[in-house]
Amino acid sequence: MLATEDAPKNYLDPRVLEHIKRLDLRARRVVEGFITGQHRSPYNGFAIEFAGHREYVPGDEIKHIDWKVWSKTDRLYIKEYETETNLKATLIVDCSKSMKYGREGWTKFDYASTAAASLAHLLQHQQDSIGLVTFDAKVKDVLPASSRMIQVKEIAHTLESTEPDSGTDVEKVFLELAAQVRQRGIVAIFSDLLAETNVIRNALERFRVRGHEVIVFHVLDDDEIDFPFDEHTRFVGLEGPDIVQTDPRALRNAYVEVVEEYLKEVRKAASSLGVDYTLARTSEPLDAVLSRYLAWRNIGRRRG
Amino acid sequence: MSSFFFHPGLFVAGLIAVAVPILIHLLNRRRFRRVDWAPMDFLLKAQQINRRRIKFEDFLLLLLRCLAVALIGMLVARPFLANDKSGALRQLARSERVIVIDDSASMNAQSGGVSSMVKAKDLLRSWIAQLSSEQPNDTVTIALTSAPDKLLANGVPLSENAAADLLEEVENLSTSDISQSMESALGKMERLFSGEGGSQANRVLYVLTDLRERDWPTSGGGTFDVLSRLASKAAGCYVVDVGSEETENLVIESIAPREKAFVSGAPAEFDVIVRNFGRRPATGVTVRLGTDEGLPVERTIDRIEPGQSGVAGFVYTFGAADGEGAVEPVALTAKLGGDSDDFADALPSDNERFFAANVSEGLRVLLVDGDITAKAENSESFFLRKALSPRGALKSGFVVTVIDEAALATEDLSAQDVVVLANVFRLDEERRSKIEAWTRDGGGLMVSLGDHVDDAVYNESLFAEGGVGGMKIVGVQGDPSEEEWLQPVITDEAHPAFRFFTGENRRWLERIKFFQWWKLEITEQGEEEGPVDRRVLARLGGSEGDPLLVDAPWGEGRVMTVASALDLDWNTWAQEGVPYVIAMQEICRYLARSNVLEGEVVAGDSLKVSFDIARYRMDAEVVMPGGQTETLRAAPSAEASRTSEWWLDFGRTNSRGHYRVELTPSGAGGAKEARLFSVNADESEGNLFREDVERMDALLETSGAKLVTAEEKVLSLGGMGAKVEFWRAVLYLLIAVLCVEMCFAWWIGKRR
Repeated sequence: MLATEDAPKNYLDPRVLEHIKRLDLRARRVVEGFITGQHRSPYNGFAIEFAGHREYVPGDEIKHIDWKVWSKTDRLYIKEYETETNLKATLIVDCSKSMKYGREGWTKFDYASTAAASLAHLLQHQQDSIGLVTFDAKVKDVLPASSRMIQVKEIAHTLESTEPDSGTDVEKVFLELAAQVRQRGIVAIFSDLLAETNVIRNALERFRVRGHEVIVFHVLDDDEIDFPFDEHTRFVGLEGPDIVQTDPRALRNAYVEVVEEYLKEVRKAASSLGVDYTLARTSEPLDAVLSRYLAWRNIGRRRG
Repeated sequence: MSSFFFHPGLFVAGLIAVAVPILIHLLNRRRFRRVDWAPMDFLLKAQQINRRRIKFEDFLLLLLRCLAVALIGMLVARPFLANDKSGALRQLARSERVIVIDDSASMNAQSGGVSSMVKAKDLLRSWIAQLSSEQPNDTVTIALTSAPDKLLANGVPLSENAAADLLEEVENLSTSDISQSMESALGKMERLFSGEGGSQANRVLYVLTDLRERDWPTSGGGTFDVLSRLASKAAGCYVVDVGSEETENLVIESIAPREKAFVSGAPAEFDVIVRNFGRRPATGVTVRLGTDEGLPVERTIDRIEPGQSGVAGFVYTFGAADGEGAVEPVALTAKLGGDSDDFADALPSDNERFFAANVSEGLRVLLVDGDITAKAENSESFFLRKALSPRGALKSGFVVTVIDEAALATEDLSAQDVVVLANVFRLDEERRSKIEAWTRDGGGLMVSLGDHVDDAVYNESLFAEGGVGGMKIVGVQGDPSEEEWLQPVITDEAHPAFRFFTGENRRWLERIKFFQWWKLEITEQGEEEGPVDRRVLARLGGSEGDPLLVDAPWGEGRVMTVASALDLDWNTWAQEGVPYVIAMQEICRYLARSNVLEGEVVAGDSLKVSFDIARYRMDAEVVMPGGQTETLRAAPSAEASRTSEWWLDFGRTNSRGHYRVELTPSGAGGAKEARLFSVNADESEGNLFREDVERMDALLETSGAKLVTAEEKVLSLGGMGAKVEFWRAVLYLLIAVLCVEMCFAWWIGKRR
């Protein structure tokens, strides 16, 4: 037992994961480690909700079309069985330039995509259908939700081939997304949320008003929170033209204050909107973040 | 700026160094890391909050660091303020008293029954007492002119104990016989003043002296120059006059023997020279000469004019050597004055003078015979040997050794006083250089030219340039059939070798017949280097004739050339008897190097004895005037690899008197051999003359020193414009600034 306790830890260390280049493999490792380390069954959570019929969208399997409804209404509806997928999850991953930050090659984007892929893997286990949206200043790639076995691989492939390369405009993008993701379900957002807090609040609100259940994985690097620099440094903005040259020691306290204020604001916004919010530091093992989130969610569910 | 700093240059350097922290700051700004940063907004916000405060704190830190550097510069530049400006800092003023005491023999001069030395000691005692009670923070440095390297006290703070110790030291002070000079003693002080060790701002120099002309030559230069240099470095400079106007003093200036060697059993003449350094003529001066045992011989000099010297002549006969063994040296002492002498002599210590007479068996003459034959009377040296050491009871004072040319190569010349080359065929290079080295070192050489002589070789070696020089053998003159002859004419009657052939006695020499001789041509080469001290004593046939006797210098020594033979082959000289004996003895005496003054040593100089380590043990004993003995170990000479000569060196000749160095022969049972030395004080100390006080005052004034009497108060520094250093305050300030800087930097670092 002792050995198995150790093994997953090794898998889940971000630095170890970094060496695994294929994202789907990486995600499986995370989930396997996560499941081995988890005492409670994760199946408790997602698949209990009822869906009923829903309109056909291209990509749905034809065999699920309810031909009876079609004969009455001349419309294509998908008949969703209780034993099959009853949850639709959309993973929204930020691939703006700011996600490129990270030391020793392990960027926030790497972390976010691994987390997204891991979550996808986990949901796949429950036969939920999963979709993926990546965005920077605009929506980049969209994978419609599907419960096919191949879906995880496709998600992983899409994320792997994405290079964070441009600025963010959270408000505009989220508006667009909220319109696109019409069916109620889970919306999991992986982003560093570097924007004005009221902008973030507005964006999240749009998902909530559409009845989505919103989960936010706020991915931040340790450096961005703790500001540990002590040499004279020139900071060059990743998304903007700003350059600050300073002695970081002189700024540390003020910076940490500003960040804390910001995080507090974000948390406040999230809780007031009923959004599940998890701060994910890139140095933290992924399974810990996932399990923390799930544990929190279970508590919330039992209470609900 | 030099009126505020001892080392203004260092202060300027410190100011320049202030730029260093600024430079470091600027350089730091140029060196940075680049980070691509995402949450730029937070950074900008944080910077907005902090900017002004950070700038202010950084500026303050930089200011503190610059201040610290400037203070370090100031500290090493040693700032001072003139006393009148310092006011509150006055308690920081500390001074060092440097006291130089003239302990030359003249300080013993008495006036009113009190000597200058006693006055100086009294003054010193009162100073120490006063300083230790009033200014115990002050330090005292005391030096004696006789031993300026060995300070009596070196920067001693005058606590109660230290003062007591110092008083005891002062009590034991006495004058020293060691030859000394005020100039060199003050020069040593100059080194102390410029040295880094005890540099103090308020250094005051006191010179306690009797201001004798000898130490303070008013002709300028020397002592006054050194003193003015010292005064410029000191806060004050006082010359304290503890002397008296008393100048009446008689001194035994020297004991001058007339002989070149003291021969055991033979009489020796001495001139005891007494100088009157006073201003009144001295009359009826009695002089006594004698050994410790036995009654001294007394002579009286009727009158000695002031500044002049009188001579008392003595004859002293040394005891004959008793059989074997070395001859005992004789310790002679000359003393001035009798009971009835009413001359007021200020300095009694120089009324006595010691003389060491190292008696030998006689002058050593080495005869190198170029014509040794089995029949003794046919040898070239036969007559000469007879003439120098005739048989009979009376000692001639010569020890003669006869060798042939071959033996010259191995003979040790160092023991010889005179070497005679009698009709030697030729000198090869080895022998010639040996003779040359010995003669140049002070030996006396007699060369007699007879029928064996190879003139070409002589001209190329002995008489060549670099040799005796200025002379050339041209050829044999005269009549081999002995039918014609020439008689000599004395051309240099004043020559010391001819002192008996003056007046009527000339004919003794001038009746000798010379049948043959070598014609000597005197060339005048080498004249450019100044006239050569060459004297032609006699010529043949007239005052323009061929030179017969030529006396020429060769290095330190002299060479007497006889142009004819010394036996009966070419002349009738040896046949004449008396003129031959007298001339030969006188010439040898004249040529011999004098060793009679070898035992004379001035106090403070070292006794040096060289000896052959093969003959004596390396440990010798020195018997000092008080009777104490000390064992001394010899050291090999610098050329020890080639000779067996070792040296004894005894430096502690601090008091006057006779010193006896006893060598122990290395063989068993040999009696000790003694060499005697007489140590006397420098006789010029007896000159008590001094310039009058007004003129001395003016002279010292120009040197920056002040002439004061022993009664004047010179210890207070009030009116002196002493310099008050405040480096201590600067140091405290620096430490405070550094502490504040560190705390501030730590605080800033912590708060950020």
